[in-house]
Amino acid sequence: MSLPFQQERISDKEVIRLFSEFVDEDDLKWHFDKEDRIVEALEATDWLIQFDNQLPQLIEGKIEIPAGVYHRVIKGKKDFKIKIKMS
Amino acid sequence: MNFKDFYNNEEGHMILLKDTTISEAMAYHLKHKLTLSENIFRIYSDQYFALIEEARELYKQDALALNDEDAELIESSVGEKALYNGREVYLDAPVTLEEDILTEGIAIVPHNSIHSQIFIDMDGVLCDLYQTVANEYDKPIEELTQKDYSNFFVIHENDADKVFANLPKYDLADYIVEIAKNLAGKYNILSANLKNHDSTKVVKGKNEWLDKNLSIQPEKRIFDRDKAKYAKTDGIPNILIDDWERNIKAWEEAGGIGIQFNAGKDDFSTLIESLAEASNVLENGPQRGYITEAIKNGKKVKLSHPFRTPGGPKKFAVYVKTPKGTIKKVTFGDPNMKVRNNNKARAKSFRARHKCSQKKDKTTAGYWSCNVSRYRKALGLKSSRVW
Repeated sequence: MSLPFQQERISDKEVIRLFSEFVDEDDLKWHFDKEDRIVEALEATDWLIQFDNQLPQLIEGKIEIPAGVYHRVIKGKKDFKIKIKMS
Repeated sequence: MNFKDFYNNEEGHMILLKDTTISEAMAYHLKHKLTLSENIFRIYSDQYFALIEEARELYKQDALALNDEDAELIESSVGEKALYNGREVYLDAPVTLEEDILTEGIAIVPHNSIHSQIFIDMDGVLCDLYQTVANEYDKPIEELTQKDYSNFFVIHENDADKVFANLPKYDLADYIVEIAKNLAGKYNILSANLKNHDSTKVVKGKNEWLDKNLSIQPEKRIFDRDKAKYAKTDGIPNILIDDWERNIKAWEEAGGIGIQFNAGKDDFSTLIESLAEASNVLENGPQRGYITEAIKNGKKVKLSHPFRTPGGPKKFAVYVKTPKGTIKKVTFGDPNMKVRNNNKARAKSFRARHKCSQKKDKTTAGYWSCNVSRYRKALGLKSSRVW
């Protein structure tokens, strides 16, 4: 299964992910992760993150995603780069 | 004509018709001109159903205009819960079969809960011998005869190691061994060797296949045609997962518990149910209590790595109430047809071909295939067009 982003590992616990503006929004699925994560937008963006049972919110600054919590990314108009730190 | 019907049209988003208090979620959908079918919440989440319930109430009060499709949605049982095989399910809310299977799979994954051993066949369960033989003879699997299989082994007597080492792996293979290991603590491979032929190369190929394809390795690898002699250990019945009826019958006659399963043809949920029943028989077991805990702990769920039942005939699952009041699971879709309803001509052709205008019975796969677009957001469909 191909993933809807390109990823570069920068350390054991950190990756940089690049989401293309051409990504199929249907590939941005609801899911949850096994460990806590902190995501950080590396540039201003109109991409959104939505947690389960919440309305979408803009991805800005650092956002904590607890393990086991459903979430999804909602596509914006341009490419989007984030740093993800796993606990 | 009712005032709210004035707005009814196929593509119409929701419109608030009265000045009334609404939730933040409803306000969001109205602001972004979304239909109810475009519900932004995860299907099966509390807010997903809360939004539908709110729309239902507003619609009853003539305070909300909905398109025909959305009106039909709120008139369904969506949001209601019922018991199906001992677990609570939502009615009229389809999910992908993968997610449904995973949920069911979680239900029977207590670690080391049975003392019996689980034996798993290879060909037809973990690796796809059928398609390989079918390709050789250039005919559908359904038309293969026993003679075709026998000839296949004769033809490949000299390169059997390579043939078996390179058999395609079923997508379900890893899940089958994982569930078996979680259920019994370990599992064994029990695969037949050849009748009246030297099996050295076949066994070599199968061993190579196991080495390179399974991340969870078996405790034992047994290559033996007489499988039934492993049906019990010290009087305790063992479980065999095998695609051949003959093997299952012999196994059960020898006192074991047989589960006939062909990974290229059967619905994975049937295997799950059979394992649940088997563990229940063996241990009077508590399979069902594990669902919530397993989900809450975030374990065993691989929703970011969905799999398909490659040979299975269906793609989605939905639970519905029958006229008799019982709950039925309907699976629908077609894994050979990528679901895309954003092509008007194809959608029209589909509806005509499947006589969708005549499909009114919610307990049938035909109804749901025709009306799946109502859940397009949740199921990853692209268009707002009704099939």
